[in-house]
Amino acid sequence: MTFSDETLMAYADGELDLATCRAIEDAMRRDAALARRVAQHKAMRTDVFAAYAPVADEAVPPRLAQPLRQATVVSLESVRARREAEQQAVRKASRGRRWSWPEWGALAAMLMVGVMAGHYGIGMLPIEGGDNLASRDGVLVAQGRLSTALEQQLGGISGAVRIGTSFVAQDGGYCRSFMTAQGTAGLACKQGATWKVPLMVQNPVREQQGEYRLAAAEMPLPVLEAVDQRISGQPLDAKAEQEAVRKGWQR
Amino acid sequence: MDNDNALHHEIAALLPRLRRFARTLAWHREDADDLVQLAVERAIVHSASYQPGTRLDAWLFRIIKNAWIDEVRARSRRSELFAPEEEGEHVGDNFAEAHQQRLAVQKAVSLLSEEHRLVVGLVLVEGLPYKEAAEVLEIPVGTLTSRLARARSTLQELLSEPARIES
Repeated sequence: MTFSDETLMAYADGELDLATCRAIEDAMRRDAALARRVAQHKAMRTDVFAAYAPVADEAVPPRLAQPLRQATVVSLESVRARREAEQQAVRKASRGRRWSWPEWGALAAMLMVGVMAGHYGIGMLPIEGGDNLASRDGVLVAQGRLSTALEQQLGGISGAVRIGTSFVAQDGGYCRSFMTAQGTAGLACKQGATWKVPLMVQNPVREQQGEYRLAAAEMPLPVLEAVDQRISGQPLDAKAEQEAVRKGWQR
Repeated sequence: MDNDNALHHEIAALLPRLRRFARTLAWHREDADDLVQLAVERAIVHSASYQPGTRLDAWLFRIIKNAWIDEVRARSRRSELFAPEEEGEHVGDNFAEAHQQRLAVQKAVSLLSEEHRLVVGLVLVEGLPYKEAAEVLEIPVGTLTSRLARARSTLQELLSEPARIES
């Protein structure tokens, strides 16, 4: 019985039924040249796979993961436009210049919830009841769904809470920006077992917030600025984020 | 919405493999990543056409293949086939030898015809069964098998003639 080169190749690739495999194996025991040809096909497969294997271990450029983090992307242009807008916002914030009047106006329309909670306690918060937040020793901390999301949820996935950027802060701990379906956004930093919330803002535009809107909403400028002030190095990529989740955000 | 998000999450998990497959088509990393970005973009827009329960990787490979044929191929930097920074990296140890070997294979693959690169990328690099690879390429399994056999023998020739690869 003779076997075509295509059949030997298919054997090397594990594509043949059991009976044909047996027949080829029998033939290989009798015919060293045939065995060599099979070995050559297997070696080629191994070599070609090995040649590209390292690509899969490279860090995925953020520009590829980004469209998947924002659920309502419609075109490549919109991805680019959004990225540029975000970069510009961060640059603007990091320059530390005085904000122009329109920017102050926008900020004034947001309630600086974190400051209020610190001064007056959680009871004064006009939002969310106490479900997601608690005040401990004058410091706002995450609890409930927000705490669970900060602890377990990966960036970009929307639910009742959307996590934005995760990063290592200059003090060495982990911080994550977040938005909630109730229209709040802020920054949380892990200290010990607690997610402290040094900044939180309330978006005054409350209509149709909900989970659908949340997926597409932009992180408010004060939060971007707070991220920019605290971040050390680059934001965590998806792999580093998963690793941090696994380790309970302890470094 | 939640379904979309779950799908997006699964696509995100496949990004390393999408990049790897794209590299079998486009030599330059930037070209390959442009291709992946475009494919991800299309996958998001056309996510309704993905049939749950079928192989998501195969669906995405087909989108990459089509994106490559439609758009990226035309503007990729073909004139400059090998990126200069890829050559001469890490010399002088076993690691370097393995690196050179990988590079030689990548170069040989890049010299194959486009349809041969596609079958090599899908079957040898991404490990798709013949049937799945044939579906991605929308060709009969017999055609895929003969293309793959020819691609392999061309690779074998290229790799046994180092001069052609190194020139």
